[in-house]
Amino acid sequence: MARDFFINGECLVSIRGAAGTAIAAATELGLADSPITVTPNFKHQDIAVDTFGGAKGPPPEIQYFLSDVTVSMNLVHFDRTVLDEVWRLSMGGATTIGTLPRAGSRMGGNVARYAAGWNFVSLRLTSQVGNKPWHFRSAYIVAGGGGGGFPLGTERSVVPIQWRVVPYVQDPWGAGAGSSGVVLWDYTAGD
Amino acid sequence: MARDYFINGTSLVRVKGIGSLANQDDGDNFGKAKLWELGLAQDPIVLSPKFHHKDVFIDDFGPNVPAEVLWMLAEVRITMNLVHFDISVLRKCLANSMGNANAVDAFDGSINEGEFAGAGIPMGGNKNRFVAGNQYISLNIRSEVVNGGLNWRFPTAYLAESPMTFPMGTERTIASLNWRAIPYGRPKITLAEVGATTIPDELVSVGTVLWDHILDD
Repeated sequence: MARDFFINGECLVSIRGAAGTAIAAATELGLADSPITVTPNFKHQDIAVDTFGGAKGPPPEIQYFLSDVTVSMNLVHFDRTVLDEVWRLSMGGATTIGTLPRAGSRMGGNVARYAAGWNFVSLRLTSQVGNKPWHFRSAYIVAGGGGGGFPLGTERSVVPIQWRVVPYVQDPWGAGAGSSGVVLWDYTAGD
Repeated sequence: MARDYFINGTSLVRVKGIGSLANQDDGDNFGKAKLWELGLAQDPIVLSPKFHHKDVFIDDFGPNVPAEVLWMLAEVRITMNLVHFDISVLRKCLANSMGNANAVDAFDGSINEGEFAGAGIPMGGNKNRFVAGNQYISLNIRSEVVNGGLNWRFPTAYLAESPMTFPMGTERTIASLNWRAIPYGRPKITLAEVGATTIPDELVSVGTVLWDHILDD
């Protein structure tokens, strides 16, 4: 691939939730009023060796301890009902939006993706020009800050949403592979 | 093998034993020792061998510095904080560690691991491993080798002293376990070594295994 300007193009946000939810099939959420930002958060840890100055010196080796991703967007043209459903799932999947589940309710629920009880959503961002659509397999709306504060007034609402994407798996042992092979994101279309 | 960083990689804790850990499945294996998955830890599992040596003093060397030291065997402490675990297997481990082979008898985990065996019950019961009456647990730590990670097996271990810290609340429980491994066992004595036609029934320390790197199956 040659060096060029990267232009993502129009970016439609769509999501898909578990069986039995209002978004059990791939569903459009909306369009943003400005660029959607994808921020991978890499987690590395230094290995300190005394011959290199210990904790005070630079590490001669580093270990990679996986990643999560932050996705930020300001929705301006969106489906209010779909947003409610995503909020409900991000709040632990109580039966009704605005109602609380038990404290400590699990988001993944020890079930497979899209099985009943799975409260994450699959998050897709289209790429109409750049042809590099993002597919985040297990995401939820984070609380606080840009986590969905909803302005109410006579002007159109622009709703800031901040997502967190994590590498959810049912069995962390993974038949001995651990996290190896777990997909955090991919560029596949469809779901 | 050259010098390098040692990264053990992910580890799965498994246990094998009889008594409460006996196989409860129908069929030929009923009542036999079974290998169970206990769980995954939140952070590193820590192995702490404790060596015992005894000083030999002679007057010519004075009262403070030994002229010779005797090896007096060892034990191992294994601590782990389990975050993804099978609570029914953990209860079976508690039952065995409390000397209570009679605490189980249902595969659905409906055991009362809190019930005492008699005070003074010997954990080995003068039996071989995995024979009824021997309560020790074979503690297996299975590592998936990344950069030469090691499997560890402690053939005769039990939950000891303050064996478990078990917080209960809305947050996920991290079960902190404290294991002790000792060198219980019957040595293999060949007929040629003793020049006899029968194998003497003695408990000796030579050849007894405290740990090895071969996992149970």
